[in-house]
Amino acid sequence: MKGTYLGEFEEIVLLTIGVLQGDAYGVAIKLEIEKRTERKPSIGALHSALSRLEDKGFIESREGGATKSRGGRRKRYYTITAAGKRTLVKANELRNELFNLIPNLSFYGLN
Amino acid sequence: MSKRPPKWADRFLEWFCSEEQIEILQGDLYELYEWRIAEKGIWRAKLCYIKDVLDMLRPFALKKKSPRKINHIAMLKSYLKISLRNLIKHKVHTGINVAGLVLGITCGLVLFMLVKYELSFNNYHENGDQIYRISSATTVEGSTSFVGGVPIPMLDAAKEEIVGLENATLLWSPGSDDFKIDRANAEQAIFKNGIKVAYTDASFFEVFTWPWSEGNPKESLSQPNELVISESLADRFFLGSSAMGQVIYYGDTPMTIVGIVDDAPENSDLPFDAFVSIASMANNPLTQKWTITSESVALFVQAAKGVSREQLAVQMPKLKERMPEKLRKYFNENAGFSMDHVLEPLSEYHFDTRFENFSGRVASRGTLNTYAVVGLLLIITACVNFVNMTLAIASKRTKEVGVRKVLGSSRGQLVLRFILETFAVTFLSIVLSVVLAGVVMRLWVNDFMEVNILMNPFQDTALLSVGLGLLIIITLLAGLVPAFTSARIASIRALRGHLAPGGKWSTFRRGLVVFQLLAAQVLIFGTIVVIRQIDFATSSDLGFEKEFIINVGLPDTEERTRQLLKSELSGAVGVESFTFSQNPPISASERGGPVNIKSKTGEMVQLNLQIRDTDDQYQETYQLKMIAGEWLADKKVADRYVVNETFARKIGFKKPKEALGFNIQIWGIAGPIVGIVEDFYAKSIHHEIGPMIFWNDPGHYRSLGLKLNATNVSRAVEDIERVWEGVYPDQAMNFYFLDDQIQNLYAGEMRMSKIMSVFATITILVGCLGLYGMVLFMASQKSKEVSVRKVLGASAKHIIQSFSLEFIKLTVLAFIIAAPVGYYFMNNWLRDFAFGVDIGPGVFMIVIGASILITILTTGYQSFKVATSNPIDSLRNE
Repeated sequence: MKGTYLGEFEEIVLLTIGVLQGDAYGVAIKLEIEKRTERKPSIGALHSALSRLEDKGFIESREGGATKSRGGRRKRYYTITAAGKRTLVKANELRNELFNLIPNLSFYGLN
Repeated sequence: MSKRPPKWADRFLEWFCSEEQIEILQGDLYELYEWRIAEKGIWRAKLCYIKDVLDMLRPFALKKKSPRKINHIAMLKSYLKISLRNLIKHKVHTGINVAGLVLGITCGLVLFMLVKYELSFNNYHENGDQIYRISSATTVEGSTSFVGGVPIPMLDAAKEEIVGLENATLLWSPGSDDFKIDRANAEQAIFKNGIKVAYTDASFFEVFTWPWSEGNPKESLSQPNELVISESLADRFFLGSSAMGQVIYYGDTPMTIVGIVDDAPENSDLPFDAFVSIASMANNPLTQKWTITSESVALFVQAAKGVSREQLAVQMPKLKERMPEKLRKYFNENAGFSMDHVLEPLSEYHFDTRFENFSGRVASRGTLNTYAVVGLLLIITACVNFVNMTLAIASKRTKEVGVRKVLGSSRGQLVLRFILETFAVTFLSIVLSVVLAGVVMRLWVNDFMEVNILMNPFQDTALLSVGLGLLIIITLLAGLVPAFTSARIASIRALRGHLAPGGKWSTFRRGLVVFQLLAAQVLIFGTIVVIRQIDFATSSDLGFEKEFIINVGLPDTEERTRQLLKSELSGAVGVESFTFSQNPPISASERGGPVNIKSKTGEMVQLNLQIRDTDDQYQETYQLKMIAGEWLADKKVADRYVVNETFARKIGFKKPKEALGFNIQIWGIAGPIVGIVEDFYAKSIHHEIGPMIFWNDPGHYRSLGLKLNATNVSRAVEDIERVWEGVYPDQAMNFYFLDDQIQNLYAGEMRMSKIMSVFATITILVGCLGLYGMVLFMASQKSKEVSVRKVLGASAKHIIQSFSLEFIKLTVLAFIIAAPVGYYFMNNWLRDFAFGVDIGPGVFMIVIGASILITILTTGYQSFKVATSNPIDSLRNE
């Protein structure tokens, strides 16, 4: 398996899957990201990231129902695995920790 | 406007996208597309769709190669095993296949080597492309005769008259004398025949590439009595001790050895062992004579760099102007005569059959082309055979293909397997052929063709590349077709036992068989014509007696020895009669030339006359038929003539008999015609019969002809040898039988006929193999059909007929093409002969008859077997 490093875009995708709560499939994730981050990931880039995340074991997928608008093709729904959750928590903690270590002074200086 | 996304983009996606991903990805793309139509309109949606498809070209989405790893080694092992089993299972097919291929390629290679050998002649001279030979062409009454030599003074004329020469050199090889060496404390050693000697000077070694191992080529051969010998000759003469500076006798003249040169290479037309300085001959009158043109002299010029052949050729007429006043006048006054000079590059020296050369080996381009064509035909026939058989076997193996496909073989693997298998068989066959060709070469061909060719593919790049080329071509031809046809068939059909190559390929195979038959028929045709022509040449009535006649060459023309021989031979047992003359009636060497003769009406006619100097016994010994008058008397001077019919006609007598008593004058000698003989062949039947006269001239009697008693030939020869030893104690007797000599005139044709018959036989054999293979295949393919027919009431006879008819049709079809092709080629060949046989309908009948017979014999047994088999055997299993 590939390493468990979590890229920035991957983190956003992972978080979005969490946000969508079981309703996360390709187009839904894409639209959600667009809505919240003002970036427009291409569907290819998104699926590429999804496939990477799945390889790393952070998400799992199941195939769901087809709709007419999809030309009869099924959707694939993604959910976060336990490992994915752990990694997200860890990344969040790490960030907070580092954030807290920054002396206030520097912030003032920056402003 | 369709609402669907662009079709081609969709197809592209389906093409590159893996099966696992396509469902989801395409679904997402469609959904986005719908959404975009609502949001941004159809055009933007379509554009975005295309962009997204292209953007999908990411590693995760691409088709993966087979996810399972295949153990290739194990697979190859399996292929090898199955291939071997298959080869063994189809023993007969494999045998025919390999035998045919080996046979064809072996012969093809032998012919290739022969042609290559002849083409390699004189190709090693560094200045080769600048060297030209100048030779003579004498024209009388429109017919031109060619002589490879020139008068010796022509060397200086060429040097002075021709602009653009770098060098010029002359070789003179008037026949060799004995070499004698005084050995310390031993008898004088004498080296007789077989040593080829030429007179020349240092310029020869400047023009031609000829390495010296001792001595200085620049300063040698300028003084009289200098000698240069080859290394092997030096070894023979001095047995390893140094030869340089030694004095030996050539004839009776002492010569100093001033240089040792390498032996002449195998492929040289100047195969001399010794060179004597031409200055040694300064006193010989021939060196000044303009009237003698002989094959024993060769003039070579080397053009300066950048001077073309044309630039030299246009200067040739200048050489005529250098002839002495008297000769020029003679030619000028007789408009019908002319003496011209021909410039010919060294690269043609070995191939121009108009001239002789010093190796005695002139290869006509026509013969070489014939060899090349025959060789090519053989190789093609063998390949065709191979392709055909491989196709036949392959179609029997469709079940195997089916099973392999079901078990997961890809088409590529199957194709690879077929090709590998063909490659292996071809490779083995070619290796076998090269070895076999080497053996055949060494055992027979070298002797027969008087060549010395070694086959070593590791040193001979041409041979190696031919071998590799054949390997690739045959593998591709014989491997690819069955590979693709068999591999393409659907597995279900294959498993049911459908035979793969359908109608299209069976036509193809038939075409191949027709081609084979065609090649065989053309060769049979050619062989029959050649054999007939040679038979005609050697057995036709030549107009004189040739059985039991021997000819002895005389070392001198002195009256004393002649009288001595006469008195001794009169008592010899078994000698019926004998005659002194210049030549026997038929002879390759000529005496005579252009003359002007006053005809019956008083006009002067020009004749290219042949002259035979004979004594009184000539007519009796050779049994020439007299038409009128009587033969010559035994006289010491020429004062009366016997002529042949053609001569009499040419000087205006419609009835040759009437020429009797007519007075003619030849070369200033006048006399009456006292006898007229029937025309006879004076040269090989390549030539027309020309006008000829006979007169007494003892000064030219170089040949003793003896008619022996048929019952006592060996005794007679012994007697003659005894007489000879009494008269010429220190000379060897050279004699030959006239009929052998006549055969020698056709040596080239004889050789060709033998080669043609051998190769025709082999082509026929290979063709038969092809036929046999095809009938085997047909028999197994049609066994069910035949059985059903039999059950429905067909008799064995019907079935054999229908089988044979099929093949006879093919044979006739081949003949329709072969007949005109063979006729065209052989008619061309026969044009070389003044007297050629007719290609009558008989030849065609033989060819078609023989090939139908061969076809029936080859296919008969298999047809019979199929026709008499029990229908149950093939119908039981379905």
